[in-house]
Amino acid sequence: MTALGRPLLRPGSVAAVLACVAALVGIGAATTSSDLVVLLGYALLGATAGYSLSGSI
Amino acid sequence: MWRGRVPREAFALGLLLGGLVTGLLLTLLSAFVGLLPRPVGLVVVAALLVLSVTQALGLHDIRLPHRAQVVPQEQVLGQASASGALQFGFEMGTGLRTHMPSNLPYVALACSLLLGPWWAGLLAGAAFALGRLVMAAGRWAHEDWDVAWTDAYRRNILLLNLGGAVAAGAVALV
Repeated sequence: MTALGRPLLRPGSVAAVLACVAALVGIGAATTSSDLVVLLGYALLGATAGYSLSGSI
Repeated sequence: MWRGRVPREAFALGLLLGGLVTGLLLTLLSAFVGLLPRPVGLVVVAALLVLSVTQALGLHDIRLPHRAQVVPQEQVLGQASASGALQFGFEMGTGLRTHMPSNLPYVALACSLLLGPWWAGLLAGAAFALGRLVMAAGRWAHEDWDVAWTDAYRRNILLLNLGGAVAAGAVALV
């Protein structure tokens, strides 16, 4: 595990990173109609959904 | 959760396989459900999003149907075998056998089924598995992961719902 990897895997860090990605996707959706935005949107939907079940292992 | 290297890799592989199987199922189903008019899909997604966000805000505790049955860790992980880890990962990756404290997976499900192109289910399924894998990696990296998650649960779940809402808006409107 890298020195950067460990802090990034904290619960709050992962949620914050996903929220930042969401902000970028939101900006992309507001300014362009690129297929990349749709692709990132579905990836983000899946990732947030999967991570939201974190307490249920 | 066990810490052996091979079981971890088998678990990760199982997660991804499970996510891809669910994604494939969504892709097949979307061929039929996707025939519904787009406005119907938008209304369903919006309703699920409201339900998920308001739950995250603590306004209610309505949970949509799920198979509230944990994977038998004592049996599967007790063996500490690669096949047990693979099975555990697969069941978690499908999302079909898990407690669902959040309704956000239903938003992803509805978007993939009702609004997305054919590949949306596969991509969302793989990303769902990756999201679960990041959680597992966090537990491996930090002994106090459960405590940290519980302490900041409300903030984290709100951030995740915010992210899910933006993503749903993006795929619905672009």
